[in-house]
Amino acid sequence: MLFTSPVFLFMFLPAFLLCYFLLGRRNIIILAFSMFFYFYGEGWIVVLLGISVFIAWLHGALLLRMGAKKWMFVSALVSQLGILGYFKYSDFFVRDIFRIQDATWTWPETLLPIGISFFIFQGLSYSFDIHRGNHKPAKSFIDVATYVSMFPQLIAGPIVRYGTVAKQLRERTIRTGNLNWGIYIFCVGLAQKMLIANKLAVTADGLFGLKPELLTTVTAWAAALSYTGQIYFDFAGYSNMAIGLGFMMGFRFPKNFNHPYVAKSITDFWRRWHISMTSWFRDYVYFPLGGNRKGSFMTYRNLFLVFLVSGLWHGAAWTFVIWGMYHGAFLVIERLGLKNTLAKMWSPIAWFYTFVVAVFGWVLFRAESLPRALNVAKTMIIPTGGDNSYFFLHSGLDIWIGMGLAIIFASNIVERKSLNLMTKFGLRTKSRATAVRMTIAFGLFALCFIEVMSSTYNPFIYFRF
Amino acid sequence: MKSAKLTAIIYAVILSVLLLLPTLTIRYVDHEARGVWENRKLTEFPDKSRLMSEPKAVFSQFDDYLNDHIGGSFQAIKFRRKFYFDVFNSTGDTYIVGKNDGALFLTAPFRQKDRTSHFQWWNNLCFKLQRGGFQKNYLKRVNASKENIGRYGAQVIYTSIPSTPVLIPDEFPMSAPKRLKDSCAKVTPQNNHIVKMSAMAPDVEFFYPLGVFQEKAKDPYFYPNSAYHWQGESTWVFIEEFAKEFDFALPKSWPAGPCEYRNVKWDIGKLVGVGTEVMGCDRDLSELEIQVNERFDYPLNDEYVAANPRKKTIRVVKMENPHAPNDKTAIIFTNSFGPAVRQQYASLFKTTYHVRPGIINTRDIRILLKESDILDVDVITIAIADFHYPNFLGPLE
Repeated sequence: MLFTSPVFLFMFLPAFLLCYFLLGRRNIIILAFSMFFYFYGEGWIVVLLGISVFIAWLHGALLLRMGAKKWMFVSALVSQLGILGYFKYSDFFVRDIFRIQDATWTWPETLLPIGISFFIFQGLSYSFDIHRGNHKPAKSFIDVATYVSMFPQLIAGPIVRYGTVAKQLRERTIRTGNLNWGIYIFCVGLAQKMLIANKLAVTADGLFGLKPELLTTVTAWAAALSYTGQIYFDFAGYSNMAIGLGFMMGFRFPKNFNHPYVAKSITDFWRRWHISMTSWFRDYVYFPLGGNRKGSFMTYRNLFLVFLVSGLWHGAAWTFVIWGMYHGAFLVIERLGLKNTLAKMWSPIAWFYTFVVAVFGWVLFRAESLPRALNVAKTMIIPTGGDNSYFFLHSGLDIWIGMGLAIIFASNIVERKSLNLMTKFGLRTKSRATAVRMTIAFGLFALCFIEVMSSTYNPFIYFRF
Repeated sequence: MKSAKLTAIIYAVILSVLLLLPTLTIRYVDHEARGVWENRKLTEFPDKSRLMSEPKAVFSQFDDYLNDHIGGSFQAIKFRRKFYFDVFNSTGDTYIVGKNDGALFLTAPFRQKDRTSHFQWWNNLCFKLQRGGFQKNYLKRVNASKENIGRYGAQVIYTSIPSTPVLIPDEFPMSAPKRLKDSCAKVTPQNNHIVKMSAMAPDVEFFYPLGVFQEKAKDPYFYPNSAYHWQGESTWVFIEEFAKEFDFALPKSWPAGPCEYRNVKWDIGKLVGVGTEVMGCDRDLSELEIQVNERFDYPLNDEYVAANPRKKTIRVVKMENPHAPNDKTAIIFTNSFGPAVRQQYASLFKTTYHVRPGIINTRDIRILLKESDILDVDVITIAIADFHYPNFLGPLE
């Protein structure tokens, strides 16, 4: 069930809000709706989510009874990672890395449950935090289950750390202010997805789908740039919808994106992109590996390893692994001195370097295979002429407008200017600012309503043709 | 504090009810209108008894059901598609491309599963069919079909209807590949696949009025802008030229004088979802007074029926012409262009049968041709869009 589907917006969400606000027992309501949310999309694989929840809870329950023991932590870690490994990576390791299949034996194909990387990481976050003593284990099974399976971030994040919401799981305040903020952030996210990302997706999908021999330098760049916009607005849009839903319920999920395309180094980029994942890897992988405390070489190694693993986390394919290594390599290079050089440079040059590195990275991320990614990247670098008509085929005026909006909203101009404008027009008082925000929210929702509803158009005209 | 919480709860309830409105209004929505508009049966509510055994399938069907029935969606679809088309000239389908003047081309089969690439049909016509090897294969299939359907001694005529790619290649949109524009522009009345095949097989009767169509194609009312199907004045001109070429007399009821400008069906509009009519030039078909029986059960041979008692007939279209200039009987095999031209064609003969292999399954077509006397006529014409050959001939071989 996608947040942008009619069933979510016009059935699930209002039914949830009614129950949540009217029935009390709010964690149970969240848990019940979350389990149904997952059951709706994945059927009986919901049992797997239940198992993951149980492992996390059991670790906490044993820790409460017996104190922190290493074996408990290791077994929680191994079982959670075992689930992730089997369902997400077994195919890749058996078929692509170790190539241990032959004519007489084949590895059974495994299903990839939606959101498995997210809920397993949430469960792991709980185990890490209680094992380290950062937070006490939850006394109630419902609290752990609610935290791990909470539907707003269940399928696309952000990865909310246990520490962030541990207190809020026990006490949250129901306030109109929270609801307003939640609605506003949700509508902004919905608009990012429906009005920008989906437009850019038409160009990105069309051009990445071209046969290699039809690709020109213009179409290759158009494909890469449109995907650069699409992935940001798609992902940031989903994160914002999740954050907005959290606000409506009284949670405060942290910001997951902070204008990553204005970054002036790759290091800076990763402080702004998918912040919840980056900080998860920093705290639970980079620091345990030694972080930057064991000398330069170990720091570079750790950085590289973290990004290698982060690439693999995004998907079980060579393109993701190479993408992770690619970013890891740039981070190491920046640590080696490039970062200082960039800091001294005229900032547009630093920005340009960062943006181009990110764009080439997305080519790796988007292409369906490594040779395809290399073909697109090569066409972007080596001037290749030919017929650019495919660019026009996959980009109408509406998509050009989407691209324009993408450029404006990917930068932080709007955020900065709107504050100035609101000050200038005396709109920074709380009530006026709320009125402005809600007007924007409902306006965006009206536009998205039309987009969501018209996505259901499905004519059948074959017999006429 | 309590009143603040109460305000929030009331606010949330109002918000929820507003969000529920599209779902709550399902029973008041005119579902039939949407079914007619989209020309399909809307998804039915899933069978609840399958919920435990196949939850994913049940919920997936429920998604489709809700998408089809939810309140406000039909209005939103119509508004959005019209707005996008009028303001952005966007059709919502990259297989329907717009010319600069707003007219549209459909460049590949409508059904997604039949599409192999953009401009698939145009490639067929302007590249494949213009190659010698392809023409030889085409001729092989023409000969095989001619041998089969002409076995009773009927005159067999293969007509190709010139389609937009070769009529107005200079008006292709920017999104059309340049090599395609260039190739389509090279298809001329003197140099095209039909001319070449006619030279290779002088005993086959081909008819391809490209010259006349190219001359008139600039008139938007000749081949109405954005009509994928062959409509308007072009249908009448086609039959006039056909009659002239093969010495068939036009009936007295044939309308004379200039045609009338009026709304004609705009079939691509149905795909784009913005309306179905455009101005075009058309004549009144009723003047021909052809009696059309859309559901004529053509009898199969006694021997076949004796062996297969459950199948006695196959349904075709039968047309009778009270003003026939002769006593001839004819058959016209067409693709979906057929309904636009069959009555004009039928006006040349006394009795005409219309068969559309695209809507009768291949097995039934073969049975009809083999196990009935439907081919025992004077004239057999195969009339389809030029890019559809030669696969169309499969069931006739």
